[in-house]
Amino acid sequence: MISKKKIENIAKLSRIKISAKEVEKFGSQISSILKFTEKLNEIDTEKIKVNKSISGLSNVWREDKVEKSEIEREKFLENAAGQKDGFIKTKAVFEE
Amino acid sequence: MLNNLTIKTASKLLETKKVSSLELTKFYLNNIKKNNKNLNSFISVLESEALDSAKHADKRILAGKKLGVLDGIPMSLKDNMSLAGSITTAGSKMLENYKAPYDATVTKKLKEAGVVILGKNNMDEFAMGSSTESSYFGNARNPHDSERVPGGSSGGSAIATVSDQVVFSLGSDTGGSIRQPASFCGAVGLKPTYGAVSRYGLLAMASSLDQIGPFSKNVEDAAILLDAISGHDPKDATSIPNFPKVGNSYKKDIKGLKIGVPKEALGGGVNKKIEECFRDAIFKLEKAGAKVVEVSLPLTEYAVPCYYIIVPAEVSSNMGRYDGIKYGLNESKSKNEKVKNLIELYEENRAEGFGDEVKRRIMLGSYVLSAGYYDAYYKKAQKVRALIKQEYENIFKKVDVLATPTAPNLPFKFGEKSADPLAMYLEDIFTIPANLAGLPAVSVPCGMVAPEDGDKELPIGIQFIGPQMGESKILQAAYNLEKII
Repeated sequence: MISKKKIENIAKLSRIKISAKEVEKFGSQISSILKFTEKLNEIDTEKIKVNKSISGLSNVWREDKVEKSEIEREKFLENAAGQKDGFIKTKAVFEE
Repeated sequence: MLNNLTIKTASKLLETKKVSSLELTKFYLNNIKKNNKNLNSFISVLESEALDSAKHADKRILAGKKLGVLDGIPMSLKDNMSLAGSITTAGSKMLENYKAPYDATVTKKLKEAGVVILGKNNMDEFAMGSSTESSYFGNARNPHDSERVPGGSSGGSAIATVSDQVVFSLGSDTGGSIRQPASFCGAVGLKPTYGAVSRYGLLAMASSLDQIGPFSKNVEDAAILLDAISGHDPKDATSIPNFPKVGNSYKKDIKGLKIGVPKEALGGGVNKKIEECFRDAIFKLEKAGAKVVEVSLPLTEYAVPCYYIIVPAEVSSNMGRYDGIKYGLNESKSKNEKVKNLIELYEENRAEGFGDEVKRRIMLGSYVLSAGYYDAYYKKAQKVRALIKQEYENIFKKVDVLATPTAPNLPFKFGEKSADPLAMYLEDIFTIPANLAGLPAVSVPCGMVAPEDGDKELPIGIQFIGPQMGESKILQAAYNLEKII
């Protein structure tokens, strides 16, 4: 069973605020899902290499060329909660 | 006359001017007005835009400039696909007011083919679920029994396709989200090979598994749609160059097609009536000339645990973009006093904007990717995934396609599985492997049966899985089954 402290830590990493009740609920659900996944330990994967990609493609490059965007800047700003002078507003990243 | 139209029959009516696109569009819009309150398959209906598109299609048709078989055909998109200028919610409160600034590639392709987009379909939040019960916009109902789920996460798309709300719909599939609702509602649902269809403009859930695919009333329509939406896209670096069109290649006799039935797909855990229907379908295919072979896929029992490490990991990364700053729910106005800094703003926005299943998977993902756990969980799952992919590659040296029931259970009642995440996860036991291995798979209706706990008959689907780029083969099996069922 994953500790309360660990769940609080994961919520912090996930940038999601959760209540004490949720810590308990999610804690027990996540614990049982993780227990279920431990079944994978039945398989020996010592010598197995991870696939680079699922379809076999790799290193798909394009020319490093700057092109004009098909969509105007305003369209992208439309959805931002705060805007100023064509920039997206947000709370200060660094505190004084 | 307008009921149960396929793309071909609708197109014929338009071509011969027996019906106009405007009449067709109004027919479907009326149906939606009548039954969406009950079915709740649409999150948004785009009436004026649709009527406009229909009028344009009619102008083209009258001028002898019909674009092709899809011109003027009413359809819908699952609400995780971007349609420029329209709200795209992904079934979530987080994006309740998000207006997509651009078209997804699939949207663009279908618009260029002349389709009439009637609206956006209801879905599990951010495509996480197998019943559409996690949608912020309420439950969608199975048209065969309104007390039961339509499946998920593309529940709305499946409903619309079988309820004469549209001729066809597009959905997305990460662990079965096209095939399972297709099975639960009685539609044909196809998940193409990973990379066949561009994911540009699809709100990402798990980037190495997601694929867009069609819901249709028959296999022929699924093939038409596959060709319309597939193909390399420079905007999606995972899209396959030179992905072949299927055309009519699948319209072949079933004689000699080797169908493998994994023994792990039967017995223990599969509803008896589903198993019976499945065996009957296989028997019919064999009588029609297919060569049926029992095979074994011993890694089958590891597919779901493997999936539930990899997918939450990718989800935790993909959901990181939803911070409420560039777009999405922003609580700063309502909680201005309480929110002291940027991190708290993120935490509040995401707590409010996401439902339980999404939060659960993000946290699970953060855990398995975190220092000290990465090797034991995520890396381990990646290695098992490689083994599963290899197991499928090997089996396709012996058989042309595999056949399994699409789902282990009949459509269940609301609330039956939603209390236990694991019970819900196990609904996808037959569909998950194709996503892990990047393979094409299709679900076709193969019968109707009354459940043990009810008296209304419910649809059952049979699934065919093929090798990478083996769409022709699975469609061949599906097409032939459709003829003999």
